[in-house]
Amino acid sequence: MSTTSDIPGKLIFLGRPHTAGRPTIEEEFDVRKTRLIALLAVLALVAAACGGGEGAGDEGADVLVGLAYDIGGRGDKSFNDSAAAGLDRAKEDFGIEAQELEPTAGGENREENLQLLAEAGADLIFAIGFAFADGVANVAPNFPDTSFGIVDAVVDLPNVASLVFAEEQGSALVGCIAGLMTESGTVGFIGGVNIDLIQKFEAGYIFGAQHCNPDVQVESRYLTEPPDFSGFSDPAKGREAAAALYDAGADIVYHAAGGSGAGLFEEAAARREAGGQNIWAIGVDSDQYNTVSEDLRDVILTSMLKRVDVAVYNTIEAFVNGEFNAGVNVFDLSVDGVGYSTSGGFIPQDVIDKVEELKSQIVAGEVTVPTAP
Amino acid sequence: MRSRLLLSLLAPLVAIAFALGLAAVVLLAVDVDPVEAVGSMLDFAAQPASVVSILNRAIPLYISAIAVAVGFKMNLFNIGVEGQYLLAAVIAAWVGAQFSIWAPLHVLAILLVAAAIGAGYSGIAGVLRVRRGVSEVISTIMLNFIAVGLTAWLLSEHFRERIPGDLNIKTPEIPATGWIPNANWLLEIFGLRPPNNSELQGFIFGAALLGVIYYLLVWRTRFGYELRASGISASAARVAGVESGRMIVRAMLISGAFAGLVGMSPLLGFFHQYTGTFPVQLGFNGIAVALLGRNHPVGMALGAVLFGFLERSSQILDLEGIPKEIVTIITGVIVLAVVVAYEVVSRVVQRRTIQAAARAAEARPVPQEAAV
Amino acid sequence: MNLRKAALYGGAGLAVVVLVEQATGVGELTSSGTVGASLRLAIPILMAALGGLYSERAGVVNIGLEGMMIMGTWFAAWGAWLYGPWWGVVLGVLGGAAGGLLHALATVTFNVDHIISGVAINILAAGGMRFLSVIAYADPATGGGATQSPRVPGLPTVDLPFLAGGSLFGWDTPDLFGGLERLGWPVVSDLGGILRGLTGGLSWLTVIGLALVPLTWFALWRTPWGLRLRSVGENPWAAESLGVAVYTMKYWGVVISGALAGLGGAFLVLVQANIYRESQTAGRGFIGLATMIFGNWRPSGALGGAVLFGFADALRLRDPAAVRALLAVVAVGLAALAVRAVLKGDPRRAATVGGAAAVFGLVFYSVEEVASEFIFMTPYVVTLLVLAFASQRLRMPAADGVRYRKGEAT
Repeated sequence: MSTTSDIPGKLIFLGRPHTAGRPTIEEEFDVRKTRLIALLAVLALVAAACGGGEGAGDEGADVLVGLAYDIGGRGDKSFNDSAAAGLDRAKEDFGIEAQELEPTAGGENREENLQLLAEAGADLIFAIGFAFADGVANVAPNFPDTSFGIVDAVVDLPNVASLVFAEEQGSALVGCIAGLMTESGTVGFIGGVNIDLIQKFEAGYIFGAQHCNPDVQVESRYLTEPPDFSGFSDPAKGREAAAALYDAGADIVYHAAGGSGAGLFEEAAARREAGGQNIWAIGVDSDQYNTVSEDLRDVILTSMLKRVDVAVYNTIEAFVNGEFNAGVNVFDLSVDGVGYSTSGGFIPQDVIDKVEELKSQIVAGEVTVPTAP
Repeated sequence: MRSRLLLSLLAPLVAIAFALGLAAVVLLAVDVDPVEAVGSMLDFAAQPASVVSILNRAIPLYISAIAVAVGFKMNLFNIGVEGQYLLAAVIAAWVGAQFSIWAPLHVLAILLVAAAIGAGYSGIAGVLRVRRGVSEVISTIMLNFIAVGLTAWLLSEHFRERIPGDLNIKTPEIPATGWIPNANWLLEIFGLRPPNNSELQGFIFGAALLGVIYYLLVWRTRFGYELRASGISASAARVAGVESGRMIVRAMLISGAFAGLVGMSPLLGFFHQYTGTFPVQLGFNGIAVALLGRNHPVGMALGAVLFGFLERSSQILDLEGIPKEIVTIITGVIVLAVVVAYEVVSRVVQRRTIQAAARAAEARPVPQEAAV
Repeated sequence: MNLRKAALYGGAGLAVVVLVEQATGVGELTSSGTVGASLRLAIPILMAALGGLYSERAGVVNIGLEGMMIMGTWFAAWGAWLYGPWWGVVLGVLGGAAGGLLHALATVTFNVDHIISGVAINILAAGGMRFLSVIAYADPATGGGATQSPRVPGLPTVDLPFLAGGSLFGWDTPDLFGGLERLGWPVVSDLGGILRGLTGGLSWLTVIGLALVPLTWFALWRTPWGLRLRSVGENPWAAESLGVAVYTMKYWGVVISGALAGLGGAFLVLVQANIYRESQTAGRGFIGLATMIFGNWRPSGALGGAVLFGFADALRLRDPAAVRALLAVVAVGLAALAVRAVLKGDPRRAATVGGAAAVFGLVFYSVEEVASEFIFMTPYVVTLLVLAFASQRLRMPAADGVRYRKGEAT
């Protein structure tokens, strides 16, 4: 018990984090963080040199952003990392400070993490994932002066921005690409866990494929059923499902299966190596052409982009500028909240033209993409 | 007698010290000052919000530990608490949402449903053991997985309430008459003022009551006597007229009834519906708590609080950039170390008893007690 | 005699499958893809099951298999990342063996209850591997993170020459079984598909895994070492009085157990995924345990169980509609057994088996698609049913799970 008294000022959750001053463990621990903090220090110097002028880094100097990840946390190479990327970019651009928390493996302390961040004095708190919906609804009313942002869910409170994505629209575009580029006439879809969110991806994909190629067949497989969420982290099953779809005649397979998607890329690469020229995979969430290892890049035709990073970054930007927008913020095609990637240059121009045409039709409201298959 | 008490206290303390020592080594290996880490954990835990959180975590863990301990008392290993409480929570949540009556009755009805489901599901393992000789360890592991599948199926196909825009899978909300009010006044007696939104779950009294019931049941009834007798020696108990088959089924039913209540504190005191974010793993952690507390009602309460503390304070480590996985490692090491420590201590006690008996035998004839 | 019986059952089984395929129009039951997938999905389960076998034959219950498998996945990926896939196999096996050693230390030396130690190892492995990931892949430049490793090189796969069209010294041999499969003739193509699935796209680890089945049988039932190990599991006190080093044998059993679970983990990483991912094992260690019991603590039984569970999983992933056809297969198979029971003059047995056949048939006709939650539950329900209704045929080692202390022989 006596140990508590000889560590004064250790209760950082009562005040602001101590990024300046002596180095903390955190910095020694994570190379990336160290780099960031160095950058931050440079930014602080620049800001100081500006003498409190109009420097870009100045506005956010007093802003503390809290970010509560869902299970997996920073480093999951997926959804959470996308949010982290947005946060990192905002740190550089606005000089904000940030605190990040990750739930236990079972995720039962999500709400507590929100509460902790709020008590730590965060001005803006992000909840990454729909599982936080109840937590935000419970915590936000008690901190009316704190702003919240929740991804993938709608929480109707005056201090909450609900950041929702039109996954079906982005999926429709990659579906269109698949429909136009398939040679076998069959394309496939792998969902990680059979939940509403993933069905949105499937619905959009099927719609897009058939919109651009009425003759196309779409085959879908789900890896697990809730509450068994291992379908998002079981690449072995992902690979078998991919093999099944390719065997069933599909030549392009799209996945919305988180970490299990790695299995799809492996299977596609193996088949490509065995002589299947027109074997392709489509990535999800981030531009997976850039996140997978180099040996797998050549099979990634495109990725459906779900810009959680943009949502986080834009929300911080708005907040710093005093333009925080509570209520539902839809990130759809019209604001490039979802989209498709062209890394690798595998998509021919005529296909891109047609996809862009579909995109403008969706943006204009001439075409409505369904959200359930 | 006193030396035995001292020794049985010594075992968990040694285990915890060992686990902390190991954690310290690991932390030093990654350049973290362990004293500082523990210091901030303790500081953090002393906050009113943390006290509430720790106790709220301890309540279901404690009940889970009791459920496991009832089995342990007669050498039955109910690993199935996990499945029993999940299945009970889903069904009780759905049943509770179907009607609304006078509050105390409503709560009682939900609790009864949960206990009945838990008992029934656990009873399968008991009957299989008695009728078919299937080890309850294996059958309850299988039943756990089956329970996961069943809850998934019930939830997605039958009990689910669809709310547009909400991607969580959940049962309909239980009407307010089925809620258990918070017990924050209890903390205020001790001068702690929990912050807003921080509610000590009222089922803490239920948990305490269950602890008393467990104590009376095991140590103050004929059933408890027979239970413990069968646990010490099944053949001796049979000679004394205890029918072991019936005892097994009854023990599993009672264990399951306790297990069914594990999820009730979070369900009726916090969630008010079964959702995809409902706490899991309580059954497995209950095994650890029962071991830590040596199946004793007070010991298990302390163990549950310790686990609650470890879990809650791991969050402060996260905020300080210390890998919080260290707490999971500590938990695992404590469980292993505590059983090793008990084993070692009991050997020491045994040796001493034998030595003492030998010494006594030299002096005068063997006294009656030493033979037991 | 035994071989003839096996051939008879195999032939009858095939006939039933072909019949159902023809009747329902589902072709996936015997395709080479399904068979290959079943095999790949079965191997990790089989490794865990064989692991459990060694441990329990030595009298130590091992529910820490899942944890040891997790250790296997982590170390396999780490080893492969640092030194290449075969070192991954080695490290994966060592990682699992380390878990086994811990279990042995607790249960044998410290005489701790086997279940408790197993539970603790499962907790410890999950937290420990996460912690190691945080350290090993702290630098994002590695391409890994807190929950996953970088992509690691996998083990190559081979098609057997002639049988499955593999290449021999640069010459692409004809694909005999594949050709048969493509003919589309009933029975012939079904057989072709099954054999093609067993001979094509094989990883060396698959071959090793399958070879471990007869090897285990030989080691445990045909060597003095195996006799000693089993004697320790049956009656350690008698073994001790005969001069068997009981503790040593138990250590062997449990450490090999961990090593095999680790090998199963390595298979997941190096053959199926080329990556470590947190909670990748998804309960396969527990399924392995169930399989071993289901297989009556015998290597051949473990193989049968693992293939059955792998098949169910493969079918679900490949063609959900085929699972319904599987119900018909079971119904027809049970009906055939019932007829046999009638012919043998055992009406009671015929009634039970016939009743079960009727239930399966009814389910087949009444459902359009089997809810996948039920497919998830299948291995566990089957194990429970086997335990409940065939327990008189099961025989676990007599001193399995018994805490043994040296010099306590009475």
